[in-house]
Amino acid sequence: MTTKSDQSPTPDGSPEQSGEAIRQAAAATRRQVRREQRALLLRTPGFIVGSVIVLFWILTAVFPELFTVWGPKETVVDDAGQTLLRTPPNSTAWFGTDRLARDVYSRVVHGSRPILIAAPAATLIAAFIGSLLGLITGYFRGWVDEIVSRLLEAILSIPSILLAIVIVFTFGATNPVIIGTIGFLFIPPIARTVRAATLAEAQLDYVTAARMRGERSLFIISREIFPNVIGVVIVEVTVRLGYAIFTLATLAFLGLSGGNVTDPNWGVDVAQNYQQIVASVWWPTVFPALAIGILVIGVNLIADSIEKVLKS
Amino acid sequence: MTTLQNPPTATETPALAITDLHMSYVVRGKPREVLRGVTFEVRPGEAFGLVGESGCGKSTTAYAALRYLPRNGLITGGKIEASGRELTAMSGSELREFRAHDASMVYQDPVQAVNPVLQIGRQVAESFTVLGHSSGEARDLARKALERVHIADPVGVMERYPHQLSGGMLQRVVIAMALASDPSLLVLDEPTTGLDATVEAEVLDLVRELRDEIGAAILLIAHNLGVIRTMCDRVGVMYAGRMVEEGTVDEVFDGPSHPYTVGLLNSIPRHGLRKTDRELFSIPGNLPQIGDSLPTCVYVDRCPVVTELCRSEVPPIVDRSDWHWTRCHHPDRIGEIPEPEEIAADHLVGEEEVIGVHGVSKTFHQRSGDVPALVAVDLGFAEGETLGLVGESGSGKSTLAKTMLGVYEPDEGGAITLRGRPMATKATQRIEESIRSIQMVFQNPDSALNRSWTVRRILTRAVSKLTGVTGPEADSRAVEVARAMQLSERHMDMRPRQLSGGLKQRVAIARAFAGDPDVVVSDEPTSALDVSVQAAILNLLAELQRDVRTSYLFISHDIGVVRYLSDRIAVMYVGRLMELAPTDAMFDGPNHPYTEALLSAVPSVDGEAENRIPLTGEIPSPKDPPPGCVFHTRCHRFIEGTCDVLEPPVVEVRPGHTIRCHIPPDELAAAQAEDLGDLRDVLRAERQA
Repeated sequence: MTTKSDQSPTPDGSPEQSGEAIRQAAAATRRQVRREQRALLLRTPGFIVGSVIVLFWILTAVFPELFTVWGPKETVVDDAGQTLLRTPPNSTAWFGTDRLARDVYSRVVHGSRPILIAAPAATLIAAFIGSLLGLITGYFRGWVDEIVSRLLEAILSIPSILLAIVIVFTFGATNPVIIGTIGFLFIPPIARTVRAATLAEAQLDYVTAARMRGERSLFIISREIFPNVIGVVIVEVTVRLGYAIFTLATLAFLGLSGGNVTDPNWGVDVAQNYQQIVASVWWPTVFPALAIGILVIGVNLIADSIEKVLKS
Repeated sequence: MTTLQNPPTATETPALAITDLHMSYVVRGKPREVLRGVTFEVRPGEAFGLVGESGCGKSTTAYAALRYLPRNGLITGGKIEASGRELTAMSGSELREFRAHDASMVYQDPVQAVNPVLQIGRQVAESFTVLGHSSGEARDLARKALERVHIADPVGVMERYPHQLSGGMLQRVVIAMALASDPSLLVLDEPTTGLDATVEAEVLDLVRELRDEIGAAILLIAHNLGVIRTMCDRVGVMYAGRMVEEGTVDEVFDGPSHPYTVGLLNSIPRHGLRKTDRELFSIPGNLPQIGDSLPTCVYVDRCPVVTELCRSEVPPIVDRSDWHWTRCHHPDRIGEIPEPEEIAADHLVGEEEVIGVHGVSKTFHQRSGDVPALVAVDLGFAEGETLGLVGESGSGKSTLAKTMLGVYEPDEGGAITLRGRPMATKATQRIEESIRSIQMVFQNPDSALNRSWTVRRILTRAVSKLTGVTGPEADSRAVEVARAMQLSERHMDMRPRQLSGGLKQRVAIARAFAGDPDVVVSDEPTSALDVSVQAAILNLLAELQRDVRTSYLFISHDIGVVRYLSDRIAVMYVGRLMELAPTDAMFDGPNHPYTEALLSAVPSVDGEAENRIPLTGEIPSPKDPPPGCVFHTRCHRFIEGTCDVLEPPVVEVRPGHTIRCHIPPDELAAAQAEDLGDLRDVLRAERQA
C-alpha cells in the first residue's frame, strides 16, 4: 500500500488540508456531547426536583439522627411529662404520634433506610441477570430465545405481588429473600428491553463484519454489542428502581418485611395504622404513605430526565 | 426543459415567497443556526428545485414552506408567504386551514407517510372528507384520485393495507392524497430517494405529467442533480443554510457560476467517464456544521479560486442573466478551476482468475416454501478487475455478495473458489487465508462501524484477526492502512460519530483492506454519501486498485458510478445473471431488454433527451418466478409462445459479452437502433415545431 503524495484535489479530511475538517469534526467530540448532556440534565427542572428529593431521603437514610429529636421507638412525652398518645401534628411531634405514642415524623425519617438498601440491591440483581439474558436471547435468537423468552413471559403472566407473596412465604420473610424475590420479579422486563435493543444492534453491519472476520460470539456480545446497549440498561435500571421501592412498600404493607414489626418501615406503618383513619387518626398513615409516594416520584423524575437527555 | 413553460410575470403573486429566512434548531439546549437568510420565490405553475449536500438546510426549507417545523425548530427572522399570506403570523387554526386547502407535501419515505393499520381507500378518502365531502363522495373521489396517479386496479388497491403495496405504489398513493385538495403549492421532499431507479423514473414521469394538469407551484427537494434537471424549471443551489446560486436549470447546469455548483457537477461521473480517464473532482473539506459561525463567503474554506476579497467581504449577488444569479466575487474565474488530473498510470487487469463463483445457487428455506434467491450464477474475478453488479432491489445482488463472503451457505453443487481451490462455504469454517482474501465494504458506515469503538480499535482488531499480527505491530500496521486511506493519526483516537460520512466510509474501507485482501465486495458503498464525498471515495477505490491490484465486486444502483469504476458489468434479475459484458460493450449494445430498460431509467444531469422504456409492474418474487424467461412479464420485446414457455439460452454476442435472451443479438441490435432512430425523428420534429 502506498500513500498518496500528490496534493491534487484533496478529498475531505485528507492529511494535507484537514486541519479545518478535523477541528470541525472534533467540535462534536464525545466529551463535548457528554458535557452538553450533563449541562442540559442539570437544567432540567424534573431532574433538579427529583435529585433534591432523592438526596434528601439518602441523607435521612444515612444520618437519621440529624433530622430527629425522638427515636423511632421512643415514647413521646410533652413538657408536662404527659405521654402523647394518638396526638395530631403539633410542635413536639411534627407529624403527630401513633397509638404507641411514637413520633410519626421520626419513624418516617428512619423508615427510608431499609427501603433505600433493599430497592437498589434488588434492582442491581435484576439488571445484571436481565441484561445477560437479554443480550444472549437477542443475539442468538432461535431456540435459546424461544425457551428463555417463554419462561420470562410465564413469570410476567403471574401477578407480581402474588408471586412475591408466594416466594416470600415459602422461603421466609428475611431481607435477603425479599431482595432476591424482587430482583427475580424484575428480571423479565429488563431482559425484554435489553433483548429488543440487542436485536436492533445485531442487525447492524458491524456485527456482520465481526462474524465475517471470524470473531467468537462471546466477544461480539460483550465487546461489540454491550457498550452500545448500556444506555438502555441505565434508563431501565432507574425506571425499575421506582417500581422496586413501590413493590417493597407493598410487601411490607402486606406484612412481608425483613425486620421486626416495631422497626420503622413505611409499608408496615401504613398497615398498622390505616384502620384508625375512620376514627380521624389519619396522620400515622398518611405521612409514611406520602413518603413512599414522594420517593417514587423523585426516582421517576430522574429516570424520565435521563431518558430524555440521552435521546436528545 | 429548454424554456420556461410558464414565463413568470412580475405582477403575479408568487405561490411561495421566502424572504431572508433565518432558522435555528435547539440541540442539547442551545439554538444552532441552520438557515441563514434564504430568499427565493416559486411562482404558480412553476417547478423550483433545491439542491445541495446533506446538512445544507434544503429539507428544513421545505418544511418551513408549510411552517411545519419540528418541536425544536425556531424561526428567528424573515418571512414565509404563500400566495401573499404571511405564514409566520398565522394562528394554529389558520395554519391548519392553509395546510388542508392550499398546500401539500410528499415525503421521502412513503412507508412512514401512511398509516399502516388503515386501508388505503380509507386514508385517501380521509383527505377528501377533510375538505367537507360526505363519506360516499369521498370514496368516489378517492377512487378517481388513484386512477389519476395511474394505479391499475384502484378499487382493489383501496381494500388493501400499506404493507401489501410496493414503495413505488405507495408513493403514488401519497401523491394522490397530496393532490386531493388541489393545492396551489406542492412540496416534494426527496420523493424518489428510497426507490429503485426504474420506479423513480415512473414516479417522476407521473409528477411531470400531473404538473401540467394541476397548475400547482412545485418545490422539489433532491440531492440527485439528474432529478432536478429533468423535473424543474428553475433551481436554487444551497450551501450551509444559504442560497449560493439560482437560475433556470439549463443556465445553472450548463453554465454554473458558483465554484460550489461547479464542484457538485464535476464530482459526478458524466458523459461516460471511466476510471482510466481521470479522477473525479472532489470538494476538499467539509460542510460547516449547523450552528458554526460562518465566514464572509460561506464557501471560502473550500473554494479553489478564493482571494483575499472573499475573506474580507460578503459576496454580492451577481446577475448572470435575467433569471440567473450567483453569490460569488469571481464568477468570471470559474474557468480557472482546475480539472482533476488525467490518470497516467496504467490500469492493469490480470489474466488469472482470483475468485470464482461457479454455478452457485442459494435457496432460502422458509415455512411458506423454498425461495431460490440465486440460480446458477457463474462469475469470475481477475486480479485488479472491477465487476459492477446492477439490478433492482430484490434481484439478488446482496445475496450473491453475502454468499461469496460466507454469511449465507450456498446450495450443494456450486463452488466458490480461491485461485482455483474451493473454499469452505461458511465463514466460520473458512481458513484464515480464505477469510483474509475476501472482505466487504458496507453501504452505510454508520451501521458498519461500532459506534462505541475508536478508529484505532476498529482497525487493530481487524489487522490482528485477519493477519495474526498482534500488539504494537498490529497498531503500526493499522496506522499504515489508515494512512493509505488518507486518514491521519489524529483520526485514530476518534469514534465514528466524530467523523464525517466520508471519513467513516474511509475507516470502513480501511478495515476491509486491513488484511490485504484479494477481493473486496462493496455493497452500494457510496449511496449513503453526498456526491462530492462519493467522488473522493470512488477516487480512493480506483487508486487502491491501481496500487495493490485488488479486485472489486461493486454493487450499485447508480449506473454512472458503475460505469466509472467497472471493467465488466453484470446485470441481475430475480437471482439470475441476465447480461454480462465489458463496460464499453454494455453501453454500445446490443443489450438484454432488461438492461435496456435499466439504462434508460437514469435521469440525466446533462439534459440529454430521454427515451425511457417503462418497466411495468413489479419485480416478481423469487419465491414464485415466472415460467420461461423470468423477465417476460415485464419485457417490452416479449415474444408470445416462446418467452413465457422456454428458458432463454445464454448467447454470446462477442467474446466476454453474454445475454440470456431468446431474441438473437443481431435482431436485438437492429430493434434497439430502430428505437433510437424513432427517438431522433421525434426530436427532429419537435425542433422544427
